[in-house]
Amino acid sequence: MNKMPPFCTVQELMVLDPLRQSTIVGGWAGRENQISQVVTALPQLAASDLTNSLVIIRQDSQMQNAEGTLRTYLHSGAAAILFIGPETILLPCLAAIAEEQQMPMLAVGKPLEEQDLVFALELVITLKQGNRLVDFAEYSDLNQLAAIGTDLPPLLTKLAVYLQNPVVLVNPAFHIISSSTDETLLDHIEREQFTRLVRFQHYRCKAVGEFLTNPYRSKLENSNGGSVSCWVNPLLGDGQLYGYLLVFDVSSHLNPLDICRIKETGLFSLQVLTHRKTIEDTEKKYQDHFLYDLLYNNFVTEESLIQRARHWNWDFSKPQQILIMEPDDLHLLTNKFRMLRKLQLNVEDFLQHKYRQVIVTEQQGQIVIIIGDVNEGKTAKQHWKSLGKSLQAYMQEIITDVTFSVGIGKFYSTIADLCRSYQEAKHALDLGRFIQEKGHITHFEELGIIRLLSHMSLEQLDDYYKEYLAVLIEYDEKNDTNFIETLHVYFQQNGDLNLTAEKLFQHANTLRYRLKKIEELLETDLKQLENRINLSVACKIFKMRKTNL
Amino acid sequence: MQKQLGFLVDLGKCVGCRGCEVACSNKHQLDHLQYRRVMNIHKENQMLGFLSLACNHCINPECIRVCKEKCFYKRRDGVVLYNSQRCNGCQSCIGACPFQAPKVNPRTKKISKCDFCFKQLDQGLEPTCVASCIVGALQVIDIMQPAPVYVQETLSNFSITQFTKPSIRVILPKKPQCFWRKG
Repeated sequence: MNKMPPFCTVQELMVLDPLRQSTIVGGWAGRENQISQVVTALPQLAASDLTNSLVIIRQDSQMQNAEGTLRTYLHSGAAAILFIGPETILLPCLAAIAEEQQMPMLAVGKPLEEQDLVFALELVITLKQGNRLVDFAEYSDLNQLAAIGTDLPPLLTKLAVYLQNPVVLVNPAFHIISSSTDETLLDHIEREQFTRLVRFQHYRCKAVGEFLTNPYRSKLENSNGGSVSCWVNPLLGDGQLYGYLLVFDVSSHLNPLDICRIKETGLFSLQVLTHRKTIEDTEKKYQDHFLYDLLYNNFVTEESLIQRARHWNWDFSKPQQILIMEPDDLHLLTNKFRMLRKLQLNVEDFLQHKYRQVIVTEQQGQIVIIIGDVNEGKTAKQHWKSLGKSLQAYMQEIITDVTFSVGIGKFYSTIADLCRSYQEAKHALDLGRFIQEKGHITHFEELGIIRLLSHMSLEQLDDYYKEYLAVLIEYDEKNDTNFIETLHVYFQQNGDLNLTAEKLFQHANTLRYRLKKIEELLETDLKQLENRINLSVACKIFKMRKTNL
Repeated sequence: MQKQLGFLVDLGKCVGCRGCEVACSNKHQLDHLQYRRVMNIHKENQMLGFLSLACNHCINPECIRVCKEKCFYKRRDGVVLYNSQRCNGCQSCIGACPFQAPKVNPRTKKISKCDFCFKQLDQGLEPTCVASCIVGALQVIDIMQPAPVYVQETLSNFSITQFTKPSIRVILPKKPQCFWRKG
């Protein structure tokens, strides 16, 4: 049995000079072809066995018919062909044959000696045997990438051609920014589907405490039962996440050299994204100023406002609806700026698919959402509330440990009234927590009695609640019974004993006993509507005053 | 980070001289208006100090919300101003403001309020009330900037309505020190 001579693949040989500078004309699907020797094309050589050989074809005075010679060697079964000479004579039909034969055809413009390639082959084989080839491959191609310029699609397409796999660049919310243009392996819809799966898996891993800041491989299974693995390369710069470079390994052959190339392209994509972000930040500053003026009525005429909005392609000639979202207990969060940025990005991503014009901005620790071109109808309030619910559910998937509350302003038909709707939404958000619990969705019209209470003098409010609840407060302080909370939840749950018991983690009989005790202490009958109203209002005021409204 | 100008009142320094009140009144003497007032803060018959109050240029201004004529607006530095040309004198803002900042101008029968002396502010000068405070108890601050720990949003012994997020901060007076001479 013949011993296999030492070899390397075509891809591996291209890690080092002189082949590193060569151009791939075609047949890159055969990049795993093995090379153990280098030969120069001679008339009699074509007939011999060229398996595992890199064939050098020179365009010089001795070679009269270069195209014919190339055709011959493309059918010779060689591992790869290196053409030394001007690339202009390499016709597309030759590249097509190389693709068909899966035989890499490389081209170099400058003269090369066979001996140089033999030395390179030996060096690559030695490095490969010592497992050190990957060290040399890392970041060796940055100069070539820099030559492409700052346009993302050619950069990603070049990587996709090299890897023979589709490449997608996404933002931190996994919204596709750019992707390789070749759609033969995965079409646009499939890419979006797989990107959603990556996002889902990513957040699931984060939820269980895995910090995914290093590149990792993710196994994806779609609804049709098919599975694809995806290489996820996070793009981190100065501790800030700019996005992810996703490579869907459709061909199932990503090797360490490919990973090196992904890292290089990732580094270059990061540079492009950083540059874009600088421009976006400047633009955002102007947008934020404009939106501040809009929300605080700081403009001369409605027409001037509509005119200014056209700079960003926003149509403010039609009615707008405003919603405000805020993380509960924001002041307790240590990373609140990062949290708000993440919230803004994801809310924008979620709504962009649903509405034609959506503006999402951060104002004083709250995420303001302005949705354009809306109509007021009977079901409008319910529609915005259900949108708030879907937003909360979406954000809960991404940020599991924080709840979010939503405030909704009233509908106004003109853009000039948006400032009023904004203040109303803020009120609904702030005062809603006295009606409902954390993670509430409150429309301004639902605030009810709280709206009136918020305008009364604090002394009057204090006198009112003390008149009704002073006995109970004193009893709670002495005996640590927390009857006030029981009464508040009881009213919050519309007097439903089972729901109240569930909320308070108490048995229904315990709750009945506690309510009876409250009735005794207050000398009142909770079945009487008038008493219920008075006590319910007193409870609301007590809660408002406790939170220092 | 956005800017939000507001007032910082040092209760330890304020002696209740009402210099700020007089200066404000003097500035608006043509309209017979005075926007700033000094309140005595007391609890259970115990005098705690003086609090100088005018429009607090709230983060959530009620006046902007209730005014149907959209007279009120907020500048980018957080100062709430009004456009008297739009005002029809409905006075809804007076009822809505928890600090009773808007006043009726007896001459025009329209609304008028503290404008933070914005013309002086734009020239790099202090508002009249702040400039006239001889003990330096009243200052202009940007409340969005981090403040020292002794600067507080609320008073423990005197309630200020918070739901409009007023742009006022206070420094509580230090405990009085007693010096005994050894006999």
